Amino acid sequence: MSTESRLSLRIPRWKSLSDSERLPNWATDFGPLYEYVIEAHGRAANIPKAGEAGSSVHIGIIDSAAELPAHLTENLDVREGAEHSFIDSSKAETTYHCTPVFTLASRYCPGATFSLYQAVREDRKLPLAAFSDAITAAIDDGIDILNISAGEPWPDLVETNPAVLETKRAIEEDVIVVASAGNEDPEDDERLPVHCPAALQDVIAVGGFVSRCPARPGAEPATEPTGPYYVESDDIDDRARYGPFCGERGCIDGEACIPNKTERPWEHNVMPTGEKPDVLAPAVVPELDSDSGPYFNGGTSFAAPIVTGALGGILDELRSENRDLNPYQARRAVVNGSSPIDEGTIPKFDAMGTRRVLELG
Amino acid sequence: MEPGTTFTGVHNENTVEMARYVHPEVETLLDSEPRDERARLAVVPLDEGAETVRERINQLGANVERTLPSGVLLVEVSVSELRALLDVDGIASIAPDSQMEVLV
Repeated sequence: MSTESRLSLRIPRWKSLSDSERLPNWATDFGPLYEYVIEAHGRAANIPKAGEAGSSVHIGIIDSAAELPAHLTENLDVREGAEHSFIDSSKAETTYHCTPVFTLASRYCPGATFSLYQAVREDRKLPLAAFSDAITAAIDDGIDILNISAGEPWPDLVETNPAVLETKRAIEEDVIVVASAGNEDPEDDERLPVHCPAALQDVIAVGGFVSRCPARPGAEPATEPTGPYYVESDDIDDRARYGPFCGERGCIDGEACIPNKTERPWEHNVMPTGEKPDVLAPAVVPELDSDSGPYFNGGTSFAAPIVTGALGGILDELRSENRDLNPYQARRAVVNGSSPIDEGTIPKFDAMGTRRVLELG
Repeated sequence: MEPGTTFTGVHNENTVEMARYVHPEVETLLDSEPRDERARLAVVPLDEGAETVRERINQLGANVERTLPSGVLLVEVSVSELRALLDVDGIASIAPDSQMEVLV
């Protein structure tokens, strides 16, 4: 099978909304909403304007794609293709997961080189052999920061988990690993621990948070993106999935966001375990379901790449001063630079706080 | 050894007591039918090393398909061989392959 046919794609693009679905008045389509949310996440995590940040940095993403659609990688340095697949699949993206993960990481570190490592099957699982091969390739490629938006609950000693042992190989080669802390299954009463490999001490484990806005949807102007972001639909009864969330760009009545918004842990975070997760980051992104329409998809999968991208920019800054960052220093800086949120005990990732800890101007 | 129970491995004053972890899905497999059904498992050896455990598993007739660089063994085993595999010394954990998944 040729590379071209192997990589024929199935990536959904934004579609038109139905009559019953309403976005903020300024959002003429899903695209502007998506951009607004990504910018809001950057503000919530205190990430400086990216510019061309990251040109000295190589970021790896172990996920569902060996290759992404051209419109996602345009103007970015992305190493991809059939040789970046470590599973037996002819699909360039086995499940629609790498697209939002890559989009988030690359948005906060657009100057970096990105390498994709496809290890996720169509059933959303990662065979250990594929994960191991992806880790080996990432080490061989000289990856600086590796994003793993996957994991498994493991009730025993972390050091007896096979994925942890493979992940340790990367850390021992000075690869900074950022991993999702894990999600609760809303259908299951059992509380799950922080997943592996995020539970490994030297991995930066990222849980999720959301920032709720008290403003009433529909009052925002049509001419200027401002106020909360949300999806309204006649069919919607789950406010947690549809907002309104703080857009970090002023409340509708002109007030500042800070005294009004409420930052709280994402409702499906796993149970904090030991010192983990290390930090929280925004956990929702807008998506379109072919049956139910637009909604905000949640997962710690989306929180990790925000930290990955921001760390890429920080590492690039350090290198411009002839400095570097190993996995232990990176985790310590992320933890020590974090900021409290309104609810819970786990702080949120704060890129400016991390920079401050690292004494970056 | 009964699966899911605490197992004291090499244990003297110089070592820490190590509990063997058997994943619940592996326990479920023990009594499943048909007996020749094969499962792919990830076996994590204790510090004494993958090679020794590998030899012990091979002696059972199970197939060690691959040793990962970290020392984790990927083992294909029939349900009928599984109980003997759980009795092999030097194992820290046994779980099905492909337990990791994306987190959305």
